Amino acid sequence: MIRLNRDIMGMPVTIGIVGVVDEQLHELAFGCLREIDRRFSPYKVGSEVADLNAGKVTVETCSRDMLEVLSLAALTSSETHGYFDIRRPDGRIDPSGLVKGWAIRKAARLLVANGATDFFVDAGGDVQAAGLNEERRPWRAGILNPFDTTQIVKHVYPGTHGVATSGTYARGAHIYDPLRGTAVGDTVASLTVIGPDVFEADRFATAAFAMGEAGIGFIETHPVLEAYQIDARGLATMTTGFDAFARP
Amino acid sequence: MQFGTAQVRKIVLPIAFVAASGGYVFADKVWLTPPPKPDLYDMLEAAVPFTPGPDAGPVTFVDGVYRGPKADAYYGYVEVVATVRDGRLAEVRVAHSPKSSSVSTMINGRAMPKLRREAIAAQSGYVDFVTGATLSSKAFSESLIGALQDAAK
Repeated sequence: MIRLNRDIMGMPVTIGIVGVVDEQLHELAFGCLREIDRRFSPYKVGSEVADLNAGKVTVETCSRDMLEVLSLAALTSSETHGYFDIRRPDGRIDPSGLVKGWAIRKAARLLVANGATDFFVDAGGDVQAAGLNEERRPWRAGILNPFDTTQIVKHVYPGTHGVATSGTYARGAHIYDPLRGTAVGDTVASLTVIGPDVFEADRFATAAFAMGEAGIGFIETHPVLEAYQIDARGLATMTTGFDAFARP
Repeated sequence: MQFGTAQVRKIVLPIAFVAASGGYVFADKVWLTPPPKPDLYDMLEAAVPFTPGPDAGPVTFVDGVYRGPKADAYYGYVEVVATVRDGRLAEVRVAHSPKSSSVSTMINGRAMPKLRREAIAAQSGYVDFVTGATLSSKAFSESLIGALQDAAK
């Protein structure tokens, strides 16, 4: 397996592909992610999102990819009871919470289209895997301890599913505030979601994390998603189907 | 590797639970809730040329609350608020991070299904990749440095 790291979209991206002799496919996928970053970052001058916010392009004149993202955003907002919203308080749109998972999925599909069968694409801890690892075993993922990221607290075998984790810093204000008397267990430290692919896992991890302790219940009601939620006490709660992914 | 753990789990889990609860209570009384993440402090040390304590380094801070600039964390922005007391960095609070945006607390009391719980414990063994919450450490540092620049004399 050839494993390569790049810094894209402000986060470490790792791609590992089994059975290749060079880095061509890696570079193809990295290029795909860079291109999406260039077009969809609301912070980059000249990006399509920036142009959309500036009124330089409209929903009628935007690209097909942008239309797809906007549609998926509307769908996600409705599916998560409004917990996922790309509209910011200032009226601008910021689809980046959705774009990360979408970008990883796109890069993975590009790899498949170019003949890769056994690989993973990992962008900042959100991962799409396919096939088997170089030992011809199922890909084995580790869920990081949100209180000590040098530790792994759970092994999962996502197979061809996607896995994504939300957490920690979003609730940083609670976790690090020594004065606030937040009730024990009120705070979710991290929420790992396994879904049909990384896009599904990522968007539902983001939305469910925003729901706090109720997030795991929301994932439980969703037939194709499983989750592992770690609270501030270091207690984990898992959905009823999660155990199937904890075994190879 | 995962087989035959049922009996071990029966013994280990209560111990781990008590240990985790004890650790929490201890941490609550002494300092933060829950125990601070070490990598936050790594980031602070990397970002701030500043030694706490009586023999503080060359930089002195003016007491006050400082809001850092919004720093791009790709899928949103990060903004930290630094509190300086007695010339020392007393607290850093994340005022905004990507995943807390546009969210209201709307969830109502739907009955929570009975879900299995376990105390987390470190696992050994090889993994192909890891999954965990990420926030651009660069964005965090940028916002914090901005706040501390305002505080520096």
